[in-house]
Amino acid sequence: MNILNIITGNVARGPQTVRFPGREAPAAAYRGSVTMDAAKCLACGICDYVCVSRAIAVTPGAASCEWTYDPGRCTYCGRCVDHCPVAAVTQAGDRGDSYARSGAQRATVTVPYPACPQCGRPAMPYNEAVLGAAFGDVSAELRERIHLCERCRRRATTAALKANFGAAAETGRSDDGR
Amino acid sequence: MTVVRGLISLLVFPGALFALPAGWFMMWLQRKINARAQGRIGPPFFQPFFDFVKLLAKEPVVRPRLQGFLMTVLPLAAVASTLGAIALLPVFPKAGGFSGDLVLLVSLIEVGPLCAVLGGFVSRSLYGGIGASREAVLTLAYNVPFLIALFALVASAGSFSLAGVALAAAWPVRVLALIALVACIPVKLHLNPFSAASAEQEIYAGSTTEYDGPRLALWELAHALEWVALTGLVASLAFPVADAAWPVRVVVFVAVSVALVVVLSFAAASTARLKLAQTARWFLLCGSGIALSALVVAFVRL
Repeated sequence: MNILNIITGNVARGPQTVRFPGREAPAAAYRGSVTMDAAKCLACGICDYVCVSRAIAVTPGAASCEWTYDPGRCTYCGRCVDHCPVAAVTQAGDRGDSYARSGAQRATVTVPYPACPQCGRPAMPYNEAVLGAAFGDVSAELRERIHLCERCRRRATTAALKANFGAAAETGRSDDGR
Repeated sequence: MTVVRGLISLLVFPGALFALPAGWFMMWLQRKINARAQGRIGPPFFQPFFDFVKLLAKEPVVRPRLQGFLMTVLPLAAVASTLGAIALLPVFPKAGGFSGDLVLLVSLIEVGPLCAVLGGFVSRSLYGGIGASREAVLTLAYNVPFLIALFALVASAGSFSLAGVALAAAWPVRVLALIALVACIPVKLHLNPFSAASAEQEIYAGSTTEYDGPRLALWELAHALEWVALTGLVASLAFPVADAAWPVRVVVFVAVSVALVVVLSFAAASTARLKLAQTARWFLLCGSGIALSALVVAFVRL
């Protein structure tokens, strides 16, 4: 009856374990819930594209863009954070609360499109860092046009093209006959 | 038994109002004793209640309509029948009852395991099926001594009513029959050494493996109520305090039930799980032997 000796010994010695701690602080650099800063967002949808578990959905609308995130589907892999070109997506250092219903913690952020300074219609948001990365040296002309909506930008480009062609017509043909 | 008295026994004592907290307390006590015997600290006092509430709040997995219906109705039937069995317990034997309520009690107690068997197969899980078939084999095995022991009590008391058995059964018969009944309790409650039906190291949770959320909460509730029903049956038959005020009888009933929980928990902590065939053999030979000796004593006395 060795088991009885073991049991009486265990009961006499008292518990060797401790109460489960209520909530331990997460480790430093813990990859937790994803948050998004609407002021920085370009509405490019890269986070939606790279998300492996479809936790992030980017739905473009007419005047704004809906960015939806469901922590219940998230694997906290951090790909959206790595791929965001403007560091609008960040991960909190905490894992968030528990929940009972799927989709209970789904959060939606609306990214408003800025108004076109010429016609007032919605234009795509832009960011200085991305502009520099795409074009290198940003000319004053480009800086002016980046605020415009797609329609006004096309018009401005056409107008500039026409102006260039007009200038070329005035200077005349080149010497080799072309 | 008037309607009002019946409703009080179903809803207040020893029914729902008493049985629910008592069942959770017994489950906690068993887990705590098991933990202490293993040198662990064990769950906090309200853990079974927390588990129940948490499971109720969970969103169940979407299932085919018929399967979902059956998987909800079967645990509900187990809860209802076990509650009915508790209401029939002869805590106040002089208050009456009716002739044949022992037969009703036995059938109500058996509805729970039957629902568990059906529920295991309905869930269409391999582990649920194995658990259900083990449950079925064990139900057949332990019911032989269980029914023989009850029949010995009936034969000794000359009555099929629980109150009659509690008051009139001869003590030698009663002691032997109660030993056989107590030996059957661990099978019904899935406790060691007769826990083959829910051997978590082999078949996870047995017949309830596929159950989740509120459906699992109902099974847990039925399990808690089974604790009260089975320990209460033994307590009310072992100490039928006939000539005392009702608080004394309630205290004796609760104290004996809890003492039985302590004994069963220590027995479970100190034994290993028997195989299915070993369990069945034990009940058909040893358990039935004790029950048959009770029956022989009952008939010799007659």
